[in-house]
Amino acid sequence: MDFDIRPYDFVSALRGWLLLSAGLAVISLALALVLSVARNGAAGLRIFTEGLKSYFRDTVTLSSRRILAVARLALLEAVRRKALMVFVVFAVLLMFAGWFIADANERPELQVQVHVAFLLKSIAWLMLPAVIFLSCWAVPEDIRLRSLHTVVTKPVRRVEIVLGRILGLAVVFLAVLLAMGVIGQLWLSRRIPESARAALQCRVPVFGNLYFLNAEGQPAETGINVGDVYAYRSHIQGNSRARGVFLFPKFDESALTINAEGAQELLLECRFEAFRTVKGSEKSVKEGIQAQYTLMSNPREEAFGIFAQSETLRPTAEAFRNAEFRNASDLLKGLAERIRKAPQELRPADYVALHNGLLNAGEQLQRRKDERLTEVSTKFLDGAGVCFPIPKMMADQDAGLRVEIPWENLAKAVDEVAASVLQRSADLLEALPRLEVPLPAFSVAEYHGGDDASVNVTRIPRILRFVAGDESLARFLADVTTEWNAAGKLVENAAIRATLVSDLVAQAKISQLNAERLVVVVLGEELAAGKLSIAGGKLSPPEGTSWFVFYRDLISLQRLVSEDSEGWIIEKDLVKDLSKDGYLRVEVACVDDQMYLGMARPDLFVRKADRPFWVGYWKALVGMGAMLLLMVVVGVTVSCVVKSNVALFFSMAFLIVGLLHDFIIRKLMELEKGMGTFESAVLLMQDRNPEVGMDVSSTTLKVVQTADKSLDGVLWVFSRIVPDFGVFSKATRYVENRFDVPLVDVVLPALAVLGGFFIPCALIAGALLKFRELESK
Amino acid sequence: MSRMNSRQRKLSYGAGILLLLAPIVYLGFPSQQSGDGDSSRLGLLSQKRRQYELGEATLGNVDPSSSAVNLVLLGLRGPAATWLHVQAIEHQERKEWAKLRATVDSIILLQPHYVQIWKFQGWNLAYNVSREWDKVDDRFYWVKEGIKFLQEGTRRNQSVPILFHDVGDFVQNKMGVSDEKKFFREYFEKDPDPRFETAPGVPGPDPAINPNGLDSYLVAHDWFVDANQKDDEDGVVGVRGMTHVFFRQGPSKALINFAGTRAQRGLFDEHVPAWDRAYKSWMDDYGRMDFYGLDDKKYRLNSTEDDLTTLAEENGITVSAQRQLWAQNLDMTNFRQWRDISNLERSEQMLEARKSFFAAREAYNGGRGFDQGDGAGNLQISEAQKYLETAMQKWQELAKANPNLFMDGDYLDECMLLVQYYDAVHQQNNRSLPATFPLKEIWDANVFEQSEAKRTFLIETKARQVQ
Repeated sequence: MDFDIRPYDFVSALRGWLLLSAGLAVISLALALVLSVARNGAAGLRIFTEGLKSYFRDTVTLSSRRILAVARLALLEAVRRKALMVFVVFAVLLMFAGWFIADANERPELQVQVHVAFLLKSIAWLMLPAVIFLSCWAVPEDIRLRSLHTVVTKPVRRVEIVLGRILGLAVVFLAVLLAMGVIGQLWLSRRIPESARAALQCRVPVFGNLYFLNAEGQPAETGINVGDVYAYRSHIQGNSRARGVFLFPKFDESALTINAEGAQELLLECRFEAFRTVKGSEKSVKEGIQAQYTLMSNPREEAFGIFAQSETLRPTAEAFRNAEFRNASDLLKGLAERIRKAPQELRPADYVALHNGLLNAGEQLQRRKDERLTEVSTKFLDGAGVCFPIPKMMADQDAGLRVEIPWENLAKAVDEVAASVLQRSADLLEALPRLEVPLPAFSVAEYHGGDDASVNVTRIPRILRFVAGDESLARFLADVTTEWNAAGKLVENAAIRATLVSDLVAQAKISQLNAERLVVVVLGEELAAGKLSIAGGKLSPPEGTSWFVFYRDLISLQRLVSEDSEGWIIEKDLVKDLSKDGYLRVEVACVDDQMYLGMARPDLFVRKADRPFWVGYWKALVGMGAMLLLMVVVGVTVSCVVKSNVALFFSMAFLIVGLLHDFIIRKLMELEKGMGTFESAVLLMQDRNPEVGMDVSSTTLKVVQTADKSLDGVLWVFSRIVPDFGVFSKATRYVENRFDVPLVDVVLPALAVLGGFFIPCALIAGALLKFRELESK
Repeated sequence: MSRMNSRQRKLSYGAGILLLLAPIVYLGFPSQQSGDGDSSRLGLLSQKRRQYELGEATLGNVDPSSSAVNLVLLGLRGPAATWLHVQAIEHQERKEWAKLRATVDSIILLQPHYVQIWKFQGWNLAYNVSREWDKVDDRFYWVKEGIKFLQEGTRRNQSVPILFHDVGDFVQNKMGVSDEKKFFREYFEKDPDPRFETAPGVPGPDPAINPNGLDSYLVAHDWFVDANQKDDEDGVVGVRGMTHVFFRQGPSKALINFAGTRAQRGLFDEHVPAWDRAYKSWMDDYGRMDFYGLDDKKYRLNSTEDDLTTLAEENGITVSAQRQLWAQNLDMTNFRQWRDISNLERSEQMLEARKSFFAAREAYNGGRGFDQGDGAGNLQISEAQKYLETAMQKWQELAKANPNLFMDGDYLDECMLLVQYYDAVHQQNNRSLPATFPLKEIWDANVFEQSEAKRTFLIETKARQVQ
């Protein structure tokens, strides 16, 4: 998939809609009042008030029976106007489509993409002209032929006529869309070659968020650009500390699938890009570049990694990451001292990073809802509060303003953070465990996606068995010891339980050799040496030490070296252990030296159980239906006040601006190449290229550029009024790529946009029809 | 306001339409052949189309969909094609390969006889798109797509020799010269796509590009032959963008390249016949073709003294001028060098030299490069060294007999590599090179080539198995 879908912000969209609707209502009423007074003089105010009351009455006393009657009329009329002829064109197109898209590609997934894209585009582009014509023609034609006069003489409200018209046309076009959808489904299921039908699938993806670690292991927003024109993917360097870090929020059991053996597993599917600076080995050439996933729970990185934004604070970030909290505290103290003595030695960027780091750490620690961390998180947040204005103050000072920067307050705040970290270092150590599960490396099949269940798909069992690193091992043993000690499973008759080795093998799933090493050699020796003690049927760690610290020290002293050649293999639960903070962190590395792996946010996703292809297909048609209905609403609204050809022109412009919305925004933000209309015209006439510019006087230059700016203004206004039609076509891209269409992020926004236009448009159209003179053609 | 009523207006429109239609009908009437073969005066456009071979059917196979699209678009073929070209570029930049391929197919529906599009997009698919993919079998798939696209171009444009030549060129260069040639040559005969398996688990060739499962150079040869035939038929679109004398050497060069692979693969039985065929093709087919040089003066690459005299007379120039023209083109095409190489390669001496070096390589890479005891306490030199010494002797004899061919190029590289192997055998037996050995003169005289020989040696021996 080569597009990115961001969640739709319903709240801000609703806020914007309410604001715009209210503004529009106020302006309309004010305009109506002014016009009424201008036309009727003193009586204008009364007429306006009465008109408003009458309109309000009309609006609140709508009759569904009358609306349905008008809708029926609209429906019959649409049929009479041969709206259904669109079917004939559709049928002809599908009959001959094979000529154009046959054998476009032999690969199944590419064939599906081409066929689906063709079908959905055909439906949209065949229906749009019919929708625009009929919706723009309906009311003006009624007025022209005076058939509306017979309707309005009946006790039917004008707003009901509008609603009836919209409803009638909506029913016609939705019925046509439904029929086309069914025909399309039949066509697709027959037309796609037998060999490619298995690729007709609807994968259900869960996308995460992506950030990068650079080759030095420091966080970065993007990776390396390898020279692609389309800077969609960012690359990470192979055989370095560079990583693509994907965070999957709200990760829980529902993301898992059930495999053929009935066991739960996680499916990770990727679509990475490979870039080579050397040819590579023969194996690599044949199989592709190697990538590796590491599943992680790394709260220390999440909390303190941001400090590394600044070169000065990088050692502090490293100390926090490595759980060297005393060291981190010392470094923070040193920083406070520097702030006190020579604050200007640090650049404003360092203070920005300090603020970001303190704020992020405070928030992350607070989010863990651990009482032991409350105080330290408050100190971090306080520090962030003091640091926040510093960069701005420094900038003001540089600009020559007299600003007194509270360096002492900042130094004090940092000192307090350092003291709190030192005081709570043991708690921080306990509360911020790092768990790392490296998975076997795999070959990346570039540009393949979902065509074969074994390609680019990694199946990860829920219960992971892996070779534990030092910290993971220390925490695992500490957890087992604490739990078993509490259950009285460690000690028997004031000695270590005789069956402990076999119990560990059976229940904690560690190997016999390592269990023996742990129980017989280490625990036995430590007990004999008096470092451990048994009291009250419980085993106690050395005074003032936790089990985690006890085991960590043993590991660092090489006392717990694995007896098993495979290492200390332990078991962890993917959901309970690795994503217990509510999200899953997957780090992607490129294994091969001098190779690069490119990725964008949608390139790695959790693949839930597949759905039938037609689920996504019909969701895409719902999105398309919303677009057609929007054009009905716009067409009918405009046609209530202007003649049909003008309404047609307006609707076409509306559609074009909607389709080019993204381009227009990019143009207005000067992200697109090229210049304005007038400047281009002058260049064309002068036969000059944009690089050399126009050969005109400075006055003409200003005139031309001002004219272009004013056109930009028109575009800006249009882009504010007209919605981005991308919201309707997003679903199509999902289906083309054989993904399910997310209901909340794609289908509902399309319906919300439709609803957002329908309400004000129906009200405006009702008012326009009510107060216009029907005899004026 | 017109004073005519509605009926009169309609009648006048009808008359106008008929008036305008008359010349169109007259001009567009199908040509009618009279009994003696002369076309009648009717159907002027049709006659001209026939005369200049511009009819769809004479240009190539008629694609009904292409004609239908052009008809539906009325006069908007140009803008539609331009838009599609822009789309194709955008799809390529965004790496949307399926859409690129579909767009390219749409373009050719609109412009089926625009040769440059076939050439450009064929190249684009086989070279640019294929290199965007990482795995070698994916690259091969897109190389095939490019070749198939060009093949389609030849079917639709049967009078354009350059398209036939390009198919041969793509097959020859992609399978024989590209970075991935080692894999592509294998895949050309044994495609990794399971759809082309001849039996379960037995890969076969993709019938669309290699229906008979031949070596890529032989397939290229056939395409070059077709290209030359089309050129002989004096196709509507002649050879453009390529010097004619180079265009015509395709079949012979493909045979030379094919012959060169025989010894590399250890197929020594085929070596001499293949080179003999290549030599004859170079000398008798290509060498005896007539070409036109500067000022349209005719020359022949494989000319005898009699030929030179005859051609000089024909061209109206002196024999000396003819000789000069001839010599210039011999140099330009490297005619003599390929002649000598082919001639040397088809000799038994060269076959023996190649065999011995091949055996030496096999021995060294098979781990038979270590000196062995004979059981009586004496150390016997390794099998690889014995082969190498034989080979070096044979190559030295060839170098002495053909000094021009050994001054640079492949033969020199081969000699340098031979000595490099010899050096390696000595090194692994803790000996340094002897003071004298065959090819020493060449080795010492080409100091700069020694590092290249070492590099080639390391690549070749990377995967050797030590016993």
